[in-house]
Amino acid sequence: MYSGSMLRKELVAASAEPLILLVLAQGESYGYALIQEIKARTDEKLVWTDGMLYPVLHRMERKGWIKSRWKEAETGRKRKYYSIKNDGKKALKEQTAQWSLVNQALNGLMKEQYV
Amino acid sequence: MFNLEQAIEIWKRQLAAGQSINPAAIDELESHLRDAIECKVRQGVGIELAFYKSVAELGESESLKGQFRAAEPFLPRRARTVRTMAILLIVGSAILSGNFFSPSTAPKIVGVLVSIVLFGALAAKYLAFVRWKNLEPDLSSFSPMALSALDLARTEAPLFGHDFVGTEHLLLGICGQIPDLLGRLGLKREEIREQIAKVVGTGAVRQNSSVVPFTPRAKQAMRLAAAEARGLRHLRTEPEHLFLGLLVEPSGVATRVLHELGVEIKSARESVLETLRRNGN
Repeated sequence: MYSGSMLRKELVAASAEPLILLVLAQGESYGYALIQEIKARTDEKLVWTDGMLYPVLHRMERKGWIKSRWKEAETGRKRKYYSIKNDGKKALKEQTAQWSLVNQALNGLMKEQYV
Repeated sequence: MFNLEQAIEIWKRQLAAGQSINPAAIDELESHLRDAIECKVRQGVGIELAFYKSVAELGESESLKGQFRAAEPFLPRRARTVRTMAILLIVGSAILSGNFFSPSTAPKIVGVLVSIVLFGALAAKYLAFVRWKNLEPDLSSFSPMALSALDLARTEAPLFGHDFVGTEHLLLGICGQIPDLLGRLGLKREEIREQIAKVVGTGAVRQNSSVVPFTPRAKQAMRLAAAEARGLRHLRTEPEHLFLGLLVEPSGVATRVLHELGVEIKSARESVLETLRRNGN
């Protein structure tokens, strides 16, 4: 059952922000859809309890990276939609650059291991 | 039989208990839960299983509350008001007293003005809080029976020589309106009256017809009653909802009276919820 590809909690927590920003960069979305998208893209390797998503979303909203609004569906049900702001796009660029850096460093060092 | 609305209501209450999560976030979590359930049901999962799976996916209540507490601490309104007032008081006093040590007049004047503004803000904050506490509850959703229960409550207060209509009088009003509630609680009206007199004391019985005002707790109970009705998706607020609203305040006189008379609050609540669901509007 555990294929060894379940990620450590710290990695999951750290990658939450850029993942969410990446999905929102493609368009407005709401909580449930967001998490389904992330689960689908990452092959369910990033396992969150869904509720963990919301404090992260609210924190990013406070930082001014994303904004939210309540929309009413035809069924009368209300959903909170999130969309990315310019500051969020900037933050996304920075964060993906940082992850690339880490990735490169790891790759570089790993190559050396086998030389 | 599994009732989805009721199950969601109970789940929401669990999350709200302890006031770790703010009400807006609970609404958002509920929206997520309903989306998750809908999705599973569409895939052919039975509704009860869909509910439990979705709840598990969101995360266990205590851990959710822990995450929210750590990430976005939520202070209920009273605590927030006290905090703001304390800050304003300390800063205002500091500036005012610092003033006395200022050698020249100009900064002194500025200092005094700033202090006045801060103390003004403090007073405004306090008044806003008092106004919020005393806000007239919206009775537009109350059914004729519920309104009669309120009228009955108003007639009870003077009989005790009380100047205000409190939760204890609401209790009598409700019991007068739905007599079989008394049977269910295993109590008699006289017993309740006696216990009220013991707990709160009595004054001279008044005969005048001047309007007796409701206590803030009684108004809160009315607000909670309307919220209960909304939560259960009933069209009107009934005396039963009013009863549930009364029970929410553990330190209210009504709850104390019932407790002294040996009523188990939790089962009383369950019993009334059962009736409401069975009669379901």
